Amino acid sequence: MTFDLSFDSHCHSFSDNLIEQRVVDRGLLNYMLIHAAITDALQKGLLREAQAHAPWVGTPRTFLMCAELWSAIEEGRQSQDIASIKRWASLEADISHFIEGGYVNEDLLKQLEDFKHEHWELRSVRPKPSLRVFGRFALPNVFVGTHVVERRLLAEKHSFNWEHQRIVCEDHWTAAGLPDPFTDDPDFAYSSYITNNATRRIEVPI
Amino acid sequence: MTYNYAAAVAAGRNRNRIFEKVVKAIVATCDEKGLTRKDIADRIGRKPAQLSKWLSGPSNWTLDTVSDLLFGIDAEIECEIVFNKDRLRSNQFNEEFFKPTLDSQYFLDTFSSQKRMPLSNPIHTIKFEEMSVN
Repeated sequence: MTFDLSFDSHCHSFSDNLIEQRVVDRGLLNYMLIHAAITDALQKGLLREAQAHAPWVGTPRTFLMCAELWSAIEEGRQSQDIASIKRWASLEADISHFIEGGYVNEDLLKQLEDFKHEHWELRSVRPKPSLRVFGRFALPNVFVGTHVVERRLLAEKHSFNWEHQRIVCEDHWTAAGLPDPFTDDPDFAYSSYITNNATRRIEVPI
Repeated sequence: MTYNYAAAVAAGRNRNRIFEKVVKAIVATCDEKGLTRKDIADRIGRKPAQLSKWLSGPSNWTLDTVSDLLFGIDAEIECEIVFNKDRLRSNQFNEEFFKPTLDSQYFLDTFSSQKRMPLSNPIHTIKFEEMSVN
């Protein structure tokens, strides 16, 4: 019969095993990794956190922007013609809506097939030409927008341009120093990515 | 004169908020009364395809659209104007993202290259072999 219940043993085997198991089981390690990577990227200026456009609102979700996206928005803010102003302002309003915890469905934020690659698009559809922000979820309720493209330049879904932009999205993600994105493989439940006030489709029967 | 960018953002924001209110009312009513898109479209006198287009997003909505959709579920909007200076500031934030963790830099330095938890190799183990009762 062997019982090794010394203090040293208790500390190193029992509690450490429990912690390790907890970390592995619950994906806490991945959480810590990506949380650390985001913190690092924010400090280095590789990511920037988008702010809600109304200072009184809560911010239950987080929207982070890679350099290319925020520089495009900054440029859009300098627009002089009314159509461009509306287009970029509408995109910012959509981002703010996400941050504020507003209702989201895939008309606004859509996971691109094949789901396993974890590519998403934020669709800011009016005024035309509409804009598409590519990005991925770093964590539930934490979206990282990588870059923005005018919809008209993408042609049809699964075209060369579409597929190319998905690769560009991954390049920006990697350049920001982020590890693997959050995934709900194999279920890909919409509610796993956006945990409150979101449904993939509006549930009104046809 | 250039259109104020902040005004344009506020327009988009208000459009999204009204969309949320109206769509939620429609979903709740359909769920409660067993209505379909066709039922609502029939009541308004529009095609179901038009209704689906409206429900796909607020970007092409007008005040008439809001009225039509609410008419379709026998409802009306109740308006209240709130001055921004009178609003209470929310303290809601993304708790999951900002919750305190162990030193994040430590984890980045330790695991970022391997991205995997090292295999457990405890120095001591507890063995439960047999227990004799005296």
